[in-house]
Amino acid sequence: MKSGSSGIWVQSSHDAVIKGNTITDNEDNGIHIYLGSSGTVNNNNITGNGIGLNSAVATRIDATNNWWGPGGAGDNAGKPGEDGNNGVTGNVDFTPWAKTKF
Amino acid sequence: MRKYHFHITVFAIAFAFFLLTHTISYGEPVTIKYTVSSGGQSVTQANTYDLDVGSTAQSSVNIGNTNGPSISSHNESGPGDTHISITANDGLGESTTAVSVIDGDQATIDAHGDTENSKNTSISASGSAQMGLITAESSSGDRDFCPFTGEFQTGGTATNAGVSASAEYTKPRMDIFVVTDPTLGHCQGCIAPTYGKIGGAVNAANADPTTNPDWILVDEGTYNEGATIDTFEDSSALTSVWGAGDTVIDTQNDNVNIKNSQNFRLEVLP
Repeated sequence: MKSGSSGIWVQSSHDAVIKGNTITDNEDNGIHIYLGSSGTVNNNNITGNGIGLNSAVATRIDATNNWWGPGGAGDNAGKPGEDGNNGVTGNVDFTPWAKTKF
Repeated sequence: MRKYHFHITVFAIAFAFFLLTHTISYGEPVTIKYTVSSGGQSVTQANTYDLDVGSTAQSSVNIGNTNGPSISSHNESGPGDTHISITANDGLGESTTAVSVIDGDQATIDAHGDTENSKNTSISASGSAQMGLITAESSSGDRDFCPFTGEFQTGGTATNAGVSASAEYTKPRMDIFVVTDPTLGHCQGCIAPTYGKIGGAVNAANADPTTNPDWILVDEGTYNEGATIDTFEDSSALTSVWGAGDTVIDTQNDNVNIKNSQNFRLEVLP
């Protein structure tokens, strides 16, 4: 999934599940969660976006076990925001992350 | 505590090679039992897995020097997810049939490697479930698939010469919509309606008068379009049939917008 201003928008939707996707090359956000939504984001490759995951909701988003890019080494390999990897903003739990691409 | 039993019988005589792999997912203990018989003798192997919810066990048996093996498995499952695949390696590549049963009440799955020189596989299943998918891939790269729901009967075959998959069902618990390039010739044996664009399937799902969740399956290919999932029934889903590597949604500065849709799933199947 690629090329949008945001690849995936989730709004006014509870308990969305985003799993097993590759989300790449979106100018603003790979995933944008807002307007009272909640959900889980797991086992995805999220790379090359402006921001990997931008959550604007108060509910903590489970974003564990995603691969955020090829940057970083050792324990920090694939970590969000590390050495050019996509990052996250908002109340997001991203630990643990995947050290290699799915 | 409920136990699950798989029983696989193989009659193997001579000359070829066969690889059988079962992948299973359960929230409760699972036992896989293989019985390999040849020349009046048999060997049994049983593995028991105590799985957490969502975890997966893989078990395989290599059967050397077989000619015309007949392989069958039997699975009667309670609530949970099941994924079984059977693969034959003809030396040029692998032919695979697989069935996934998601949130099944009960399913009986038979997997067969009834083959000439171990080139063919077939799999069939019946039962009742929220959703399911049968796939077939040949060693020459051909593919077919079929989704199902409710009370279903489904079957698929894969050989180095071709593939087929079909499914019939009644009392659907999902409204299924398939997105596929018609030139691929996939899903010919499906009773679910097919659309060339994701937007066509989304519009049809929106117009559907039932209260069942909607399930849109997207075939391999690149789709240059966005999609707006607005006010879909609870627990609806948009699923890639073959995985993220084979289905690309290039939204062309649009996006996939999920709004007012609770428990929506955007994912690939096991």
